[in-house]
Amino acid sequence: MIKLDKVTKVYPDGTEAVKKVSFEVNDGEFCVLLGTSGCGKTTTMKMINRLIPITSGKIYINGTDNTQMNENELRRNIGYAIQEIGLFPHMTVGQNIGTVPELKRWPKAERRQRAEKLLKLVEMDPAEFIDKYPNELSGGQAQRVGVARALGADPPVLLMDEPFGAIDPITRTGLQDEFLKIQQEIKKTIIFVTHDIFEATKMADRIALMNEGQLVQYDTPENLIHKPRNKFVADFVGADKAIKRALEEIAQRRQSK
Amino acid sequence: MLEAWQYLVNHPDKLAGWALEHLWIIFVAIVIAVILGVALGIFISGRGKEHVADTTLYLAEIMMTIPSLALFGLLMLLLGSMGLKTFGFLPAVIALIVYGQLPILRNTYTAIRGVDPAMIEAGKGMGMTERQLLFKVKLPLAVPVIMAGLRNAIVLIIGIAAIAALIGAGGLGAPIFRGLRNARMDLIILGGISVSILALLVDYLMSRVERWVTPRGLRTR
Repeated sequence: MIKLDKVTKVYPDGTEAVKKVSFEVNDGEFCVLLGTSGCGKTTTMKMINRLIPITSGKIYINGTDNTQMNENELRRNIGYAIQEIGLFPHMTVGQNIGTVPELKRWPKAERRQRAEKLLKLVEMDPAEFIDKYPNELSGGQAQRVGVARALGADPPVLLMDEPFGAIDPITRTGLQDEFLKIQQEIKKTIIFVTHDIFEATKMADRIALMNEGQLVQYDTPENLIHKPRNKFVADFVGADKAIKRALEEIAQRRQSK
Repeated sequence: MLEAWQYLVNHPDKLAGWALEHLWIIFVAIVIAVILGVALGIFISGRGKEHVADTTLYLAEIMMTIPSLALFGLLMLLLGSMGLKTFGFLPAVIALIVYGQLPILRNTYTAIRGVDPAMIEAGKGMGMTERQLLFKVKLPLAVPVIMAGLRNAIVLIIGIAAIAALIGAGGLGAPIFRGLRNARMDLIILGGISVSILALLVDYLMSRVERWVTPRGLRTR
């Protein structure tokens, strides 16, 4: 379980990026941090694996204050997928996926086995792809490898920073569907950052909607649509009727699954 | 031109000797210059060392502007005051190390600083220590640019090493200066062309080395 308790980030220049944000994500839950750019969602996420130091408040991972852990150990136990994919161009697909296992000193054969298994999970043929380099992959393939790499050492928690952001809409939809299927199988605790309300509604068990550094509503997608807490939320999810209808459809499809 | 050719045909052993001397000097100089330049480049590329980096690069640039003859002279004084040999191999190698520094240092620094921040964030986010980040991510990605600097340095040094003959270090500068003293055009041409050919050959060789040490995923096919 991940618990954020009055998490605050103030930058040296006085900017308050995140203001007293508190919420909990249960084991196996898919939590989406949603909001426009600059709302503090990415900053909030990066305080979880301490890429950004926290100013005040606490973050607990399975009951342990994350500032009490060794930061590298902490990060090796939290899968991390980033916006620009960030695959290492000088390493093969297999080596990329094996990055964290290598840091954890897994033997080579085991790393390769793990990479093969994860490639299968993201529906890529290990024999074909494991020895390829990132510059030989399409955008969608690279993104899958990015997800596989985040799962490298089988971490219980995944942080994903707009992992499908740079992908064309059609491939993107495919990747989302696939990732949901994968999540059914692996049941990770996921914190996923996006500015795309459709993506959030489709993927999330719960959405944390943020605005100007504050958590506005933390709820299921259904409640966000039907019981918006204030005007900001109502506007965000559907000032436009067409958007609202589309979101309701997505939410219903999810429930019927 | 013809005389130069004749000299070459008649005394191939002499030319080979000069060329080997030349190669040996630049080899020793470049090995030391690489070790120093890369190490220093890594050091000044660290976080919070921007001032140190600016100063270091500035100093290296100033060194480059010292005419080689003046530098040889300065080195003779300096080495003499330390009781070391002021003539021949030692001052020549030291001067070449100085000249080789800037391209290597600057490229190492620029390459490491220029690594895509997304790469660094990915590495950090997966739990790499600063050291692992340097050796597993930054340096491999910097190799092509560092190698370009190295090639730059080598070609530069091969030319300057010819002047080292003036302080008795031998090499392909020897026939050039002897030719100048004795108005022997053939020796001047022979020495000059040999230096150029040597530079081209070594540069070609280095382009192969460059390809070989560049991680496969970074090679342009």
